[in-house]
Amino acid sequence: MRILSKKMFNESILIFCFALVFGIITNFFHPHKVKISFSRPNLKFVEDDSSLENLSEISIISNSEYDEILEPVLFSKTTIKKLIQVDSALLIDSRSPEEYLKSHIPGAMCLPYNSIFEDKKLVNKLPKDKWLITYCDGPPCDVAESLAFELFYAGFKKVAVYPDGLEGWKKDNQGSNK
Amino acid sequence: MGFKKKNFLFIILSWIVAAVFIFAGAGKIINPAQFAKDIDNYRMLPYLLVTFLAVVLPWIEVLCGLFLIVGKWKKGAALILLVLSFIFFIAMSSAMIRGLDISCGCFAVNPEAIKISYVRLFEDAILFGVILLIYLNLLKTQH
Repeated sequence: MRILSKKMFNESILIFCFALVFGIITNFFHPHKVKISFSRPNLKFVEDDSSLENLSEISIISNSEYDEILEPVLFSKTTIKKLIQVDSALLIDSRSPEEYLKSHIPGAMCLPYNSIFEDKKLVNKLPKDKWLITYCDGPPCDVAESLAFELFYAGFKKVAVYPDGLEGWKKDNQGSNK
Repeated sequence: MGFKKKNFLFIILSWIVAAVFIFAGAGKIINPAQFAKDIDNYRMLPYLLVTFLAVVLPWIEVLCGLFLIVGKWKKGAALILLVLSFIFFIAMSSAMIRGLDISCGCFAVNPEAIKISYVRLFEDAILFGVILLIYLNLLKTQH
């Protein structure tokens, strides 16, 4: 008994080719097709006029009941300030402790991106009922985005990124600690 | 067990496996964006491959299921399903080791309800075992 024969291999290749053709055709006509792309789509910005009640149920819905995708979102400073006023958000500085000590957004906690891999207990201490909003120096804010995804995958469903970072926060006379 | 009874058992098993994969694949074809997200959540592949798999993989599942039922290219279909369930087992184990709290992407019905867990891992191991039995039986009976 041969475990793998040429015939079997050929059958597998043919099935794959059929799947490829069907897949490409259906995706081409699908109303919410998958875009073949090298880079991940950008996170969605939450409108400043979103009510706080709605914020707790934010999901990225793109015109289809099937296409609901939950992932970290982007918050503007206005939204963050609204959430902080009602104690519903925790700002997280994803930079190094040295950078955090130098300057940070008032009320933010220091949680460098690398530290969550070294000590998982740090993540467990974070509140699940508040929005966790990560930030770094300023646009681009890749570290903050990566940290947001790590938190999201660790089970936190209310995770956002402040893309303008510390620089953006300072710009509008909000100041920063130190 | 007689030859006929044994063959009947394998036909029933093939149909059950086929139904599982057709159901799983169909849900993903209806909802490709969610499936792409599910694959991406495993964080094992570059995004280009994620999108490619989201387009092709559901059809592979459906076609393999159909071929298992129809009886044409059964060996090829069983071989593909065997490899798929093995890769899925590895991916899910890896995600669990990394502590990811994600949907398994097995069925696109309700992603929140089907998160990776030891139960899912066990189910996949059983599915792999059944497909292996079907595959070995096909090798014995068909020439």
